[in-house]
Amino acid sequence: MTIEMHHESVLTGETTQVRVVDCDVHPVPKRGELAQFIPERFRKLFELRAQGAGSPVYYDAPDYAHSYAMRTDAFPDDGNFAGSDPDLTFRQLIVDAGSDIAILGPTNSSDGQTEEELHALAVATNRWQDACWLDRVNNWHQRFYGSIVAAVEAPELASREIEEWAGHPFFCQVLINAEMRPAWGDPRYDPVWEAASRHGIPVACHLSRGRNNELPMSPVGFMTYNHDLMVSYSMLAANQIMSLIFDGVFDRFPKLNIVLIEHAFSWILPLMWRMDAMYKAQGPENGLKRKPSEYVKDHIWFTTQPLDYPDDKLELTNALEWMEAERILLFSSDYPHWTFDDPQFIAKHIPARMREQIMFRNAIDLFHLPSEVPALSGRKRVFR
Amino acid sequence: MTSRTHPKIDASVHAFFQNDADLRGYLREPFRSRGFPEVDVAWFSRPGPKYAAGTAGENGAHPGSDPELTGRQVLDERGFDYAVLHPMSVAAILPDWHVGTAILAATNRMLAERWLESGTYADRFRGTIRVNPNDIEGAVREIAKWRDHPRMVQIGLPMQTQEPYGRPHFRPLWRAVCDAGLPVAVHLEMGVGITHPPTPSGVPRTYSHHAAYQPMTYIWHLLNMIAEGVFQEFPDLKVIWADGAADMVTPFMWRMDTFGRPHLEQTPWAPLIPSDYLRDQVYFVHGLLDGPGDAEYASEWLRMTGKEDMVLFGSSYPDWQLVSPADLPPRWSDEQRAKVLGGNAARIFGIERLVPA
Repeated sequence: MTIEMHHESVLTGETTQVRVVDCDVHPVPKRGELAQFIPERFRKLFELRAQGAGSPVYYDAPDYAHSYAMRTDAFPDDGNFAGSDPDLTFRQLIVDAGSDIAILGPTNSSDGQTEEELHALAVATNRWQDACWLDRVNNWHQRFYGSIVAAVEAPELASREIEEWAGHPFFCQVLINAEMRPAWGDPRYDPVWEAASRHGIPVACHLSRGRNNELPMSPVGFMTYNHDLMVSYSMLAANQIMSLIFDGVFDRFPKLNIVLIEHAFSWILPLMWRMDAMYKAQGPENGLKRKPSEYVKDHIWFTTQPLDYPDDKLELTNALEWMEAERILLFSSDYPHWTFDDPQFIAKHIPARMREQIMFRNAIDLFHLPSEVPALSGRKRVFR
Repeated sequence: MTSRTHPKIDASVHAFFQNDADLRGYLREPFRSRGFPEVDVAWFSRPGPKYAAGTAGENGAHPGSDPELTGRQVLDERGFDYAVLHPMSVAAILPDWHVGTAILAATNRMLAERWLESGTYADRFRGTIRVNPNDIEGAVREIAKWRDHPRMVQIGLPMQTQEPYGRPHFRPLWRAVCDAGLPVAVHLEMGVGITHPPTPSGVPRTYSHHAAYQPMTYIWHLLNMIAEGVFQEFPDLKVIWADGAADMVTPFMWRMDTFGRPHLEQTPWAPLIPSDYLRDQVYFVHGLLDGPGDAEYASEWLRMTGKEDMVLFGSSYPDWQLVSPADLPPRWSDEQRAKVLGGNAARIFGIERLVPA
């Protein structure tokens, strides 16, 4: 499928209803593209460090040496990396797959060696999104929304960065790393939650890699493969949730919303039982005001990719009902990664009763997205 | 015992020394004079009673240290036929593995002499051979020493380790376990010692968080053991995760299967779909925090992932998280209830070990 790229001729002034919001899309800077946005102080340093450095991977996804854990058709013809071309992303995701809005979550800003460096990378990544993806030329279709990348490792700086970009018409969430210690219930992170709450912006977190033994590290030592590491990654998210709830973050910030991207989600069902059982047995430590599962359903969101399913699909359907998935799930594809979930595939696995909420309504409400966007020709309808 | 009904089995009852001096009485030098923590010193202590009311022995003896009191409370008052005793210690997380191995040897001797070979309830108590995974050769020797004891029915390992149980240096241990024909029970070690932080994000700030999270530690061991091919190489190995959280196995196996299919080419030593390794090899003790409570769908949930054949009732006596059969989800079917209260345990431990001819 092709589409004319003469922008003026495509936007007719007509609008169309948003039916799919993709909450996990990964843009990548083209080679050398980010440097101009890096604060002067760090530019040379980052450049020197990158010299001669090759692949950094040590937990490798299947077939890594061939595909770099990417959809092989997502590499643009100009030799840059998958996800580096706004037009190709638009074509594969918005036109071909049929998503109406793509929320960009860049993950290139977790490589700093100090808090200051992480902040510098966050600043650069935000300027780059603004200039190279969310600008009038590359976002002519108004289907891309970005993330205010914030270095949670430096909470005061992160809070200032949120202030800097809040109100930008195309930034709809804050994006932080998950791996640093301690867990998010620690009061040191309060400035981040405070700034996000004040502006009504959800705070999202994508899995990444910490350094040394903050990979995330298991309580029993290092995993051996990408397989056991990535599956156990959900245990980090489970711990952040328990920390947020038992440490009273949602009592301190009742307007805060947390989005856990790509951490899987079916484990939240038994985790809610465990937390509620502990609350019943142990009482409200730290003055907790409500049952833990109520905080989950009112404050925490999960993206659908990866959708983990059993042999018997009815078990998945049941689990979605039992966890009240319509209150906690947001559709996501993980484009352009190899684990890409097509919106048609996800929509078909979600019970009809909750399909619209999970595919777009929850995201529109949570991220304050428009319910109508400029119409485009030649797109497919993902579900009825 | 008729063939129609299973014995009722409490698969997790904790035995303790009476106190520090009692333990030291079972040690020889140079270990008797060493410094090591007592079991109730914890990185994270409960702000409240650590043990169930009425479980302390006479003259301040540690809860769970008096075989007569335990037998009365666990077997007689609750109507159980057998109790599997799993002694608690700090030994397996001590930096000096010689001391750890010595304490566990003392523990095994105490358990055999005091609980399994004497007293009113000796013929209804079954024991755990505690071994030290920081001393594989010593663990293999300790298994050889006790494996033929008619009332030792499982081998006990700590949940907290330096490395996950799939790593290759544990293989001689699994070989010895399988040769002995006994299941392994993995339980959180008490006390303090050399452990990684209990969560990937360090140390929790509340006891509620800590105590609800830590039993899920088994997930890393299980994922790693599957991917490393432990269950493939040792098809007779049976592992009982003794701190509960069986509920988590369902979502984590969905995840491991779904994500795993493309990864299998990286691990040809574990060629099956991960969940295929659960049957007859992976078991859980039911914990106080487990299960959907009185939810309508509790029976269906227990059926999923085959958990109804994996879960064993265990009271955790005398811990404060004491579970009674009345705490089990009321919507389980009668058959599921019977399996959890004894049928599954009888199958794992072998009825012939429980009921000598």
